[in-house]
Amino acid sequence: MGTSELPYRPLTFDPDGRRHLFVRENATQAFPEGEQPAVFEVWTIEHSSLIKAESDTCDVRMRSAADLLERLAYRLSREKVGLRLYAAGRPAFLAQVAKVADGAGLCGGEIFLDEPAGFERRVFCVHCDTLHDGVSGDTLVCQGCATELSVRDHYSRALGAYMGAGEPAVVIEAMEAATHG
Amino acid sequence: MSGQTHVRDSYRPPFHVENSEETILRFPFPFPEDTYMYSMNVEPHVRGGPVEAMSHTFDVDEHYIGECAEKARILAEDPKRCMVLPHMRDAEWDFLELGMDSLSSDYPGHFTLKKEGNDWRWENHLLNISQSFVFGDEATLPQAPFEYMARQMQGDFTLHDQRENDLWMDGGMVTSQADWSLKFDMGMSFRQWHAPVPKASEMGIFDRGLRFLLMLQYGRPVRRLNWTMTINPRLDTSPENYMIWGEDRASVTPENVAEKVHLRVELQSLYRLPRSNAILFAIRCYLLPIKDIMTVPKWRKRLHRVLRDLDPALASYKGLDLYRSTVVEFLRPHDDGAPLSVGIQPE
Repeated sequence: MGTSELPYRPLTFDPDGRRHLFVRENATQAFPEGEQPAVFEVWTIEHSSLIKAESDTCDVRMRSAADLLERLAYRLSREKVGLRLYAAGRPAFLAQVAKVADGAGLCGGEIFLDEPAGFERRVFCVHCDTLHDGVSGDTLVCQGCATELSVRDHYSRALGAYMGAGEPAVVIEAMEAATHG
Repeated sequence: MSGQTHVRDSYRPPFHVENSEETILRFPFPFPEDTYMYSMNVEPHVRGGPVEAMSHTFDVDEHYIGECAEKARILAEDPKRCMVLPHMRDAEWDFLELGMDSLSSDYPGHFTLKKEGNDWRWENHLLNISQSFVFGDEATLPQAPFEYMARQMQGDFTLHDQRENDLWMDGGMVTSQADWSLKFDMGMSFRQWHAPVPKASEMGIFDRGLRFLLMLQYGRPVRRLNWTMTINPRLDTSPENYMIWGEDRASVTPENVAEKVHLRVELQSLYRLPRSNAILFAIRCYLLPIKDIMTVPKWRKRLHRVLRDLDPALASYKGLDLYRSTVVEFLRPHDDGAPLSVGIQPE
């Protein structure tokens, strides 16, 4: 089967880039592998309201994911060709970074997403449009329409979410009856 | 098509869709051989072809008014069935022009288009629509140009932007789909929106398909057929409403199989659009119940053989597991095993 999922892979600096920006959800996430460019920026979320982002340094601290994503959208809208964006964090963070990058028109070779930390996924109920964050299993009950959803392997970058869809009870019963004879 | 002035079809309970003999014989039966597996099966979309449904740019048949009414109802219930990203504005006008030009030249009795420079007058006699507007000026139409035109055509339409050597689903109106969601697939690349399809990816079909479509030329549209099966004549078999229509799959019995089970065929045609360089993907859905297929000996025999020997993974993907054997058993006594001619024509 093909995939619509985000192209995760371990981060490596791209020597073809002219400017490099690494955004991470947590200070424990390591820098990309490979030869480090002479200059690269790191944006790290500190999860603290005491932080002030110092813009004249290459080691920028952010208060929250929302703070970082807002600044990232602003920054990317002013970038020129040659930037390489690297991101590390949980799946929901990577999904949001990808969405901001897509919105700014970055191409596939300009953004790199690390293997995600953790397995929690964002799920979109296809029946009622409710979004669920932090889903760790393959099933959930929709908070919008109470449907028991299965998480499908179909991912939308625009929504930053996997599809969740239900199955009518009579179909489940009939399938089980057919399977068990 | 025969004259028709009112909605007589119902694509939701209580169902009521009847096909004339002419409509049955012009059906784009999807199996040229006794076995089926995915293939690109793309051919030039030229006039003529093995069945009448392929003889116009956009086919209009006796269900035109009923299908347009059902489409309007679905759009009222769920506005997200029509979405177009802002950068597709040129493609919207390309689509409107293609629709109006081809409908008015293919069916001059039903559609009229008069142009004086950018001042256009469109008349749709089947839906009683008359509209004067300025081509390129959205404010002179009651809806955005894509929505305005797509509401007046049978079938689904998607608009694909071409960039980065890929095709991106950046617009569409989708109300008669075989279990895929426009609102979920919006913005996806060619491979992304095909990701749920089993086997075809491994077979390299999407890679070849994409390469082919990236080179599609203006004025040289192509077409292919795709198929699945649907219980009851429902145009709207969307994921959005799966909890409603999915139950139908458990309702097939040997007694109702001929009435309830429909072969669902998509006549897909693809066009390069001139101003935007986008690609229009037209997906026209035809539903024919087993009882109507039974009236064409070649088709009922071939359908029996294809369904009997279908790859199980494909059958599951198409959602046939709960009733395929019932259909095969029903058709089996009506297949004498005689050799059938190659091709989809009724004889």
